[in-house]
Amino acid sequence: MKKSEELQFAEPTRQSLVAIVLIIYKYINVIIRQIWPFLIIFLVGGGSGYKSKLTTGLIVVALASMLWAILSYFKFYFYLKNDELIIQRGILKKSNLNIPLDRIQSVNINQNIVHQILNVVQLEVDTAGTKGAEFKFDALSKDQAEILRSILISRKTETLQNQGQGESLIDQSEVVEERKPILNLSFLELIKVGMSQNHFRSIGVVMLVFFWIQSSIEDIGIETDKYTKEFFDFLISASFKAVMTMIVMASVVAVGISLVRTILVYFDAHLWREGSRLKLSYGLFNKKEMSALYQKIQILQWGNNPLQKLLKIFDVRLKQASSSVVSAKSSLRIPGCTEAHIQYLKDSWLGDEALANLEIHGISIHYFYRRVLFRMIFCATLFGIYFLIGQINGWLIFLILLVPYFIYTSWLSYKKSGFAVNHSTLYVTKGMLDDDYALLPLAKVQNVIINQTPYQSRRNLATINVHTASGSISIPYIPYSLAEQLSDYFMYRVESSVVNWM
Amino acid sequence: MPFSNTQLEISSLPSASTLVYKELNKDYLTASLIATLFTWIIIGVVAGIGLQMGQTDEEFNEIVGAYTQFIIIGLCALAVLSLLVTYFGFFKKGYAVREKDISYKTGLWWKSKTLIPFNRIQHCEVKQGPFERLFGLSSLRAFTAGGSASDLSINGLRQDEANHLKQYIITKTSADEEE
Repeated sequence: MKKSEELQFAEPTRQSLVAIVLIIYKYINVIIRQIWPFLIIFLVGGGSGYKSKLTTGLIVVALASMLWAILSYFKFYFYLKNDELIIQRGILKKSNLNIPLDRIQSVNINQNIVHQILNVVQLEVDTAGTKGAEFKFDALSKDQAEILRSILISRKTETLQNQGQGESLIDQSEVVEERKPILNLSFLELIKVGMSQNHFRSIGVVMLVFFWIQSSIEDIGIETDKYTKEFFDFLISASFKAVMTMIVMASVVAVGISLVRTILVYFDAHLWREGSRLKLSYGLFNKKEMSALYQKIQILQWGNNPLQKLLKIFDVRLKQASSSVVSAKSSLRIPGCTEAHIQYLKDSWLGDEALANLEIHGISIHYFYRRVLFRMIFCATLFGIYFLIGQINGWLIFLILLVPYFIYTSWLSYKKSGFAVNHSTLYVTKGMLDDDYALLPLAKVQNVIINQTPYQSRRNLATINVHTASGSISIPYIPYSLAEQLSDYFMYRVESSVVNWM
Repeated sequence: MPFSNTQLEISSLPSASTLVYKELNKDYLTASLIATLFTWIIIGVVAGIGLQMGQTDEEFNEIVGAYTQFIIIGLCALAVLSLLVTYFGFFKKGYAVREKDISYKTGLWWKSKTLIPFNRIQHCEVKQGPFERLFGLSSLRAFTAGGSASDLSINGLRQDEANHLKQYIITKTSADEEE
């Protein structure tokens, strides 16, 4: 990096002045999130004396947080010194945070709607393996952020190259960080992604929000029991037609929610490659930019549900190691990928050789038996409860259909579970109605656990769990001797590996 | 064979199945039995006080009163069961150290065997609980980046044994880093 650019950060620097606005926004956001049910009640009704007290309270809180934000803005400095990013902050309690530049694993730039209006960005510095050394800048001007990021990242690349003499950890020619686009999601493709989401999850979200609102309202002292009871009475006594109508309505609502949510979150999604890292950006109001260093990626997962299968698109997840293990933030989710995109990711991450001769092996049929047994016990319980209530209606059809559904999905799950191992890679498949695939280089394995339930012990079967720095992968119901062979082989590969896992 | 591609014979690999697992210290059995007993005594005392106090309450008597004996018998049965599990479970626990990795097995009914290569251990620590202290025992924990669920924890080592093992692991991990 050019020295002149670096010099600009040698002196203690403050954030962009508009950071004050953002800090206030942050505080108010936090406060509102905690007291919003009260606010609603306050706006809807309540005694007038009560109202004026609350208003005063709110004004005091708002003023205090404003003052606090201004103070914390002026007490915040950052600068670069001796290859460290130093952050000084604190109003009452001063704190100094030193982040060695070679520890920085990734630097992400985010922009939410307020940032967009004010034309600034949020900069997130993530270090792996060092607890408490992640840091977020509330607001930096775009130029400042870009320069700072390139300095922070270039240092990382330099140290990597120094360490990796001989081994080509990073391809020399690629250090000139050229932007190579991989995926650009058009609006049409975005709609495809939205239509093929897991709509059950949307229904779940609606229900969660519903119950949350209900309990929030109850906290304030409004009786909701009566309405809920009426609703459930209606549900229990509902006829087949009513049940069908409800299902259709719920589906429409769910699809609508998924679609809107997808468009908001994944608007203008781009995936591109810059040298040794992958970068992903998306978002309509909340713009996000994330990056993953190839070397840090531990597991590559992809999969599709039946709808996505029809449209021939996949959801891809890049799981990378980070300081907070398996946090959602360290896993990049790329929607709307095609087979070709996945092939590119696989090849650019692992190379042809690592993917050769991956021959799939199935698991034991006892997996199916066991699953069916447990689900049948569940069904029997449901039937019991149903007949105890003693009212025959439309729900009965669904209960009866549940039995073949469970048998069918268990069979699918058994058929789709499989694994393949070659000299350097573990490949695991699973799924029920969905298909899920995962690739894991053996050098990334942290440890291996072989588990046996009593049922498995009797049949000499075992489940093997392979743990990495970003989640684990398991192969269920394989012969115990095979599990031991596999773990011996993984150990051998890890112990003889000279490649860094991170 | 699931590995059609490998040049090496799987059977020639060092196998963990032939490992001789070292049983934990006998004192640890006594310590864990006492700890289990102690836990159940506390539960018993709390339940006893609860039942005593409940006797004055009519509503409580109506619901629970009739089942008092069953509750007592149930608690005793659970206590005996957990003591038995602790006792027989002890003989299923064991650890083995090899040149390049360490493994620990445990579980009476739900069995598990953990294998951790030294070159993946981030740090390890020696800990001592109150009952372990009485018997001069320690436990050793080895941490990897694989998350807390997969960390290895060996209980019931003699204090010097634990420190020795820790030292061994540390020299092994640092040796790996230098290579």
